Amino acid sequence: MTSRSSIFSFDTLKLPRSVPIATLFALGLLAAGELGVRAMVATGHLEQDKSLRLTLTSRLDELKADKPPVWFLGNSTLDWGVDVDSLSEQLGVKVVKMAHGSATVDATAAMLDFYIKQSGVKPKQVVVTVTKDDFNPNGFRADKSKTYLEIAQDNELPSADWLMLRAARSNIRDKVTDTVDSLRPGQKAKANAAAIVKPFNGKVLADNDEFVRNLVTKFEVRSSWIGDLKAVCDRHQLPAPILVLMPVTDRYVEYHDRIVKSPTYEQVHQQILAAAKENGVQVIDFWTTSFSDYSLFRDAYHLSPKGKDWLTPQIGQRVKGSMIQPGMR
Amino acid sequence: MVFNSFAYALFLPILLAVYYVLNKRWQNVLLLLASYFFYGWWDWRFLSLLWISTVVDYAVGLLLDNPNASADNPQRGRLEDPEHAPPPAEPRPESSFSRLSRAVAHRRKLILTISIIANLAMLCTFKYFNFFIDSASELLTAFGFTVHMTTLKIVLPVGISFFTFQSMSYTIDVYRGKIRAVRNPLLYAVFVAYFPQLVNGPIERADHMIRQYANPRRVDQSWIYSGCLLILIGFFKKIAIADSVAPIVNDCFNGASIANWSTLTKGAWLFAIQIYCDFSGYTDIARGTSRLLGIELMENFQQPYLSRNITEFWRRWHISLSTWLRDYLYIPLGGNRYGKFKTYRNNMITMLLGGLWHGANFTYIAWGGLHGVYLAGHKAMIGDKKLVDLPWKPWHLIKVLVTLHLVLVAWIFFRPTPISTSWDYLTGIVTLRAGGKMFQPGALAFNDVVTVAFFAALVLMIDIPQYIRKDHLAMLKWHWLPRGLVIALMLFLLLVMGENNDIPFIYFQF
Repeated sequence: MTSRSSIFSFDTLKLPRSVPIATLFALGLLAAGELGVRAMVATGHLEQDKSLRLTLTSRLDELKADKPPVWFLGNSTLDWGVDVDSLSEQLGVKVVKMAHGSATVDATAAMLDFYIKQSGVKPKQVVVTVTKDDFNPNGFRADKSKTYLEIAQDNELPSADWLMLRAARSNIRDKVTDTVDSLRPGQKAKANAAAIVKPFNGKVLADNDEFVRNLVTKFEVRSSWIGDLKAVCDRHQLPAPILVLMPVTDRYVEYHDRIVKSPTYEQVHQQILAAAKENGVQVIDFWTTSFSDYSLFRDAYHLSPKGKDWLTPQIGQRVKGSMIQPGMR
Repeated sequence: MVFNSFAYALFLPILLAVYYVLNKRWQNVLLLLASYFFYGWWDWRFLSLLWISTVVDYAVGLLLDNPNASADNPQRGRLEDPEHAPPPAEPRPESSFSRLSRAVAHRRKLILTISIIANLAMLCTFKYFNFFIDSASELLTAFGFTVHMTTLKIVLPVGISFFTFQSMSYTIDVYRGKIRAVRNPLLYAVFVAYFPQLVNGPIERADHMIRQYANPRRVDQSWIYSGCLLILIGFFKKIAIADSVAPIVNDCFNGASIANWSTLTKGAWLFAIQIYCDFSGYTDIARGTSRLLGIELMENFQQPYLSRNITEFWRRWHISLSTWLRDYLYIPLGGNRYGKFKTYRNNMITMLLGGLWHGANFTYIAWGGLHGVYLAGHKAMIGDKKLVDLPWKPWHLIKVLVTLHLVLVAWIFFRPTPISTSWDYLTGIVTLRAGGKMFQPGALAFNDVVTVAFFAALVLMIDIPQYIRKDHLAMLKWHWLPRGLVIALMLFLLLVMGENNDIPFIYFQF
């Protein structure tokens, strides 16, 4: 049979005389690897990576199981700044901490909405921790927050990796790195030493400091996001949220005023206070304290373990009276 | 549309399924439509540029066509004549043009000039207009004049530098009598728009491509297998290597003025790996895709980092551009025919313009200038010695390392950043800066060395076998066991290291 095509003929479809053994072998190896990793995960020899999907799933499970009445939301400043166990003990109710790396305030509001819709559980009180860069709609955090906003808008968990080789890849890499390190004498001790958090050294931040330079890109203050947060609480018939303005070092404040210039750090502060007042949101303010006790910080704006121990009881004390309602337990 | 996207993963199989059952003519129609779809996916408005380029240069080709030229070479017919014999390696313009009257010669020159101006005007408007305006404005300001010049708010059309140069090579070749003009507009349109090489090269020549479009395609199992292997190698280079090192490189370059020399050195090494894997990976995918379509594209890279001198590097790096610059710029400028000084001058002009071709930024000009200096220096060292296929000696490894590091220094300028950033970067390395202090040699970090060694090993795993056999498909000649292991490793790393986001190819910006 002849074909009109210069390429196609039924000969084209015939298998080559020699089986593509190398390709089959490669695919077989991959399949074996996938099965091996699945077996290791199933038997607990390997863990899946802490993906956003996994984090959200475990949080939703926790919300459904424990129904905690107090929800703390924020980003890394919350994660490193508040000890949820001692807070639960202090407040006498179960407190859950849900940090989303680099989330802006609108993204935090969106994720609050997502958790309520997905879990069907409502908190009695929402507490949101913020710093001034969480209100910038143009910086690094706004960029990172797109993921959270998309998840909340779609009201769906991020898709899962269909290959366990991918789903556990960071843990596989860590295992390989650990194995390599174990072959180098003294490396383990060095790794352990590096794991100890050193306090902030108090150095003046350089103009293009890698930790803060992207946070202030085209800096603006979108204080209306506080209204968005309040609107989510209203929609779910929750009391107004409490906003905790987190402490930072004086180096961080000085950097802002030097690079951004306008609005100054204090002007940002006033804008946020005004927006909170306008929306009836209560504020716990550590903002005006520019700390020069650098032992409380691990860098210019993240608290160290010592700082966490210092701040947590203060937050607990400040929110206890206004927050706890009868029957919360 | 980019190769590393879900859209392309759908586009290619559908295209192949239809393509394989059509006859030659309709295959070309389909290729043209698919190419326009591929380009228009990014921004359909810029299809008009492709059409302008196609119509202008097709018409210019016909106007320049010199039927008398073929009298010198009875074997040579039109490119679209089926199965006709290939043209001679070198054109014979002298004898061809001797038959033309002075008036005709003058008219042809005028037409070619108009064609070149039209192409360069399009390129300059979209790529260089704002750069020239800004530079002129800064210069005037430096001399104390206050000027307000208007810049254009336009987006750089993807691949404009590639398809403009390809079109120009066609009209110049027709003018020189090297090829006859193409009469079939469909073939010429496919030549300009052929999607695998449209936006990122290789910059092909008409005598290589149009003959293939004019003839029936033959795709057997070996073409399909080799095409798939090239695509796999390309994706491996792009996704597993280039995209994996991209965030590390960005961090290093962002911290150019404060980072330690160890970090900066790591960044420079990894940038060299990134740019090579990104660009050559694209070429591999383009060549592999094209093989599936029954069309052979030229090799654009031949393991450039294994070059033993800078001249050899330029024979192995972006071959389609370097040969274009040689044939249409360096040789017309006089090449090496008029003494040492003019050879150096021609080298420098060619490399400076080659640098500018990459982007409207002073860093690219600095990059080209550095390579111009390297080439002139090497030419001065070797004189008239020929350097083709020298046998390998163990100490040549030192030559490879020296060449590689010269190239590495130039790469530091190959980014669209202010030139002061590149300078900060270079001085950070040269002065062994660490912790804000200079000359701190002890700051070399073991982890930085391991990171670079890991990615370099991945590159060498692909390059060394290709280099030894002088064949991009060297792996096909291996025993099935090592071949299977390497394919498995590439697939594994692709799966494990690939991110979910589509990082565009670096050369798209050019």
